Amino acid sequence: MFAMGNIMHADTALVQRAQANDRAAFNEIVLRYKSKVYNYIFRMVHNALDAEDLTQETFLRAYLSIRSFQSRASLNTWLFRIATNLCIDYSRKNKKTQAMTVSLSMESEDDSEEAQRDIPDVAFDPQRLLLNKELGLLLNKALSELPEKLRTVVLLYDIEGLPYEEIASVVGCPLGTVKSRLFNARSSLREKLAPYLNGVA
Amino acid sequence: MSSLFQNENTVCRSLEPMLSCYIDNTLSAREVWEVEKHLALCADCNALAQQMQATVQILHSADCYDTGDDFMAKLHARLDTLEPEPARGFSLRAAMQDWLSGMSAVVRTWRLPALTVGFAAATLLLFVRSNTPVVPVTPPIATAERAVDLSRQVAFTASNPFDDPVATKAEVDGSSGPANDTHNEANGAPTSF
Repeated sequence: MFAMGNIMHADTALVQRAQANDRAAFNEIVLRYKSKVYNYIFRMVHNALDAEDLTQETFLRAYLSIRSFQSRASLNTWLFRIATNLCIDYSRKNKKTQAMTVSLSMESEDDSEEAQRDIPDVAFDPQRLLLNKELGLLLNKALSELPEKLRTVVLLYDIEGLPYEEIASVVGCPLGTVKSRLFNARSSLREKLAPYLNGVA
Repeated sequence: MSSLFQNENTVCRSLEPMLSCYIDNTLSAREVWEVEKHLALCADCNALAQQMQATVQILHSADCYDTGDDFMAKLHARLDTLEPEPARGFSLRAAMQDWLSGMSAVVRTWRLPALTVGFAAATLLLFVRSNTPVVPVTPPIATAERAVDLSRQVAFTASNPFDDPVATKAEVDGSSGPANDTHNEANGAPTSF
């Protein structure tokens, strides 16, 4: 919590400098958040080139509207809100082609079954399992198949580490909706990752 | 969504949505107590909780993707084209120019609506006036009477009857009527007898 407070304080100082047209301060903001924003967008759109374009667009919009940013929300939340809106626009424009762009899910069902056979029946160790490329691919495929609303929440909470309240602010829905979407997303992922979870419990 | 337990246990169904928050440690103490009491008794829910916990751990351990090496260079190239105006010190001339440009923008914005409203108002006024009956305008009586009184007062107070046009007129008229005689006596002027 103390570290989070320090980050927010540093963000506030950076934002104030950026609002005074300090390009170096804005550069620092980009360096601080570009990986998180790109990682989130990439998992939302499943396309590296488009994800990079959308990440650039996120920071361009942030740059243009940095003077209207108020410190009531955290910079983290604000950037993810911009990114989420861009992803929603993107998915609307590419709705027809989106179903075909599953570059992350190139593996066929047969390969998944092969991977399942390759997993040794040992005590569950996620770090070790993630070393297995197939699990990473399966996770990406499972995430890409989630409905957009569920995917947004589970990515923001379990991968980007935003608290419930900030996710509610980003998505624009009540806190209870965030919790129920998170539960539904995790339940869906659990079913799709079942081949790797059979040894658990 | 297929659950691990199919026994339609209402307790299981009511507690199942809480498992996600239980894993995140965001439940109240009482809710935690309820969930843990149930998990100790229900093997299905216990298995479900452990699998969901494992799913969350997989998500936490997922690979992180990063931008390309030229991301910052590309971004700066785009930012250069969007460079906002630098902050300026206060200048009366600049302030006046800003004000004038703002006013011209307002005029441009409201010109058409203002013309429309003005035209509508003029049309309405013409319509109302055309339907109003015309009443002949007569000068107020009081004004004419006041003019006569004023001329009499001037003639009465004039010391030189030649300076008074009313008195002069009476003198020229001679004995045209008793009114003139009365007027001359009142002025103290010598009679012509």
